[in-house]
Amino acid sequence: MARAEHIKDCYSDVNVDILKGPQLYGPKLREMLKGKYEVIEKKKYPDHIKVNPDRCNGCGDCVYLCPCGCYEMQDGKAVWAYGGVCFECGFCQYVCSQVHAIDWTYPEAGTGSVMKWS
Amino acid sequence: MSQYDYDVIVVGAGPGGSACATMCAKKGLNVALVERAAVPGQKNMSGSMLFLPVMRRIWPDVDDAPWLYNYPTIEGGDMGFMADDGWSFTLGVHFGADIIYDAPMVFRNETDQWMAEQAVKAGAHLLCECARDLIIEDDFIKGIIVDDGKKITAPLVCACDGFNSLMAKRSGLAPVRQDRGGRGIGEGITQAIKYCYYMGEEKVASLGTAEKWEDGHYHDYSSMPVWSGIGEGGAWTAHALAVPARGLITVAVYQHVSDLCKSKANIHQRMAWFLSIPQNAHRLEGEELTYFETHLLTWERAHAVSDKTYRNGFLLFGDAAGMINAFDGYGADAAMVCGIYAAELAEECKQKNDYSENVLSRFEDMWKNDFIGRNEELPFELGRFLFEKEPDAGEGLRDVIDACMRGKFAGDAYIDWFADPQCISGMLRIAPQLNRALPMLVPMLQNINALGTNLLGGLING
Repeated sequence: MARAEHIKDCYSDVNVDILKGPQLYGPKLREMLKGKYEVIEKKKYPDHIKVNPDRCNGCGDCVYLCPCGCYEMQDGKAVWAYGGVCFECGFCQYVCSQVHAIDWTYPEAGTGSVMKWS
Repeated sequence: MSQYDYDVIVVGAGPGGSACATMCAKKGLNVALVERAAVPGQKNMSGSMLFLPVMRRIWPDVDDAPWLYNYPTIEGGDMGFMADDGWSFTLGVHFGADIIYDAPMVFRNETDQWMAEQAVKAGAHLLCECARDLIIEDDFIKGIIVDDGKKITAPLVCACDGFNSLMAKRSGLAPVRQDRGGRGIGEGITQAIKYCYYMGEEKVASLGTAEKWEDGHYHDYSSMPVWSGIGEGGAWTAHALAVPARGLITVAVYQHVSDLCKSKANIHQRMAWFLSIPQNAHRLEGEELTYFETHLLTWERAHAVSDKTYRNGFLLFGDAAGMINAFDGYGADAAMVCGIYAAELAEECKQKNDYSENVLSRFEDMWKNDFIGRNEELPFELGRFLFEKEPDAGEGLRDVIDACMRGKFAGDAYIDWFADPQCISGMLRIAPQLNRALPMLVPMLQNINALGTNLLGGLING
């Protein structure tokens, strides 16, 4: 018991709550990641990811879980509204619970996200 | 005059693609290496170990490459397990000094560029195009369709275009994960996120994890201190990588996509939590995030490989075929070996003028008989050892280590640098699998001394 108390003291700054529920997504995330990676402007295929509104059930998973904050809810449906910051990681096509709701492909060659190298 | 633009089209200039293109070019084939990034490696989001024994088979002068500057050591290592509140214990393992020279830590955007350059030097044509579709005629694949519907033709297409492979989907050979086929959302897929901090060479070196040796290379004592845990947000794994030569610290966190979906917590939240752990917080205090990267991988899923990896005029390998080692998450070495085999078959096809499955079906035997196929079975072996032998936990752990050494590291790719059966790396790399067995592990660790091995098991509070 004493050990448990001691551990509690040591790790009082560790925020366990952050492991549950949507907390860091959308505008907050976009703000945090501003300038932390580079995306070359996409000209021919600016909308390389599309959400089919007829198939989207509005669960919001892509909005909460996209690591770049590309998605937002509009009228109860997810929209890939911030494609300019997409990392092309492919995450959204696997979190979506609806078949073919997210139409996923790459932008044209030579554009899109690139590694920022210091 | 051939009716085709090229003898072979290789899609994706990663390790597998560049290996394949280099070998094809060396055999005198007219080969195109198609890469969607303006500079190969530019799109690459990963960075970790590469295995020189495999690379020497393709590029004999790899030891002189400019990106060789950081070597992990096997002098000692830590395998840590951490609870949600930050409570942790570490298994420190020391087998005596023996340095791994053949598995450098690399940044893949440097190495991929180098590998593609080698392919070009060998005679491959590097094209900056995004391969979107395949040309299929009479069940034979005869080339690719790139942006603006432009066609590039060849009697053989070797596709190794990564985890989100478009070629795998178009060919109908995609690994299971891409059709979802009744499985849970995100199951078998892991998301990796990496935060990189630029601190300058001096400061990174001062952290004491790496030192510069007389040979000019940094030797890193904690390149991969692997932390794992399972709790509120699901199972996770993390490691930090110091690269003094580049003045960088990289913190990487891996979490299952299915767990992220359940908890609705963005992977950045897991990273924020990990960074708030005192051990990390004090090292990174006052540092500003320089850049971040994220990518997907298959991890902890055995038999993720496509049911079939060939078609008439088509070969599929690397991450695109799910050839990520379910055991430790590495895939570059498997992709490179497949690249070598694909080039051998390409040569044979040209000689026989037969690009059908009659010749290409041998591809599967080739990689399955190499270490890639054998790796596939290991997670099962591991599970069997851990769970079936649970009553005798100490025995189980020893068997696990044995299995690592005999099975995984006996492959061609590893035989050189894992020749020492007491290699620590095996221990370090099984951490993600072991974390699943966390409740059992404590009695196991307590038994370690009784095993008579020279493992130094230490339960360290905080």
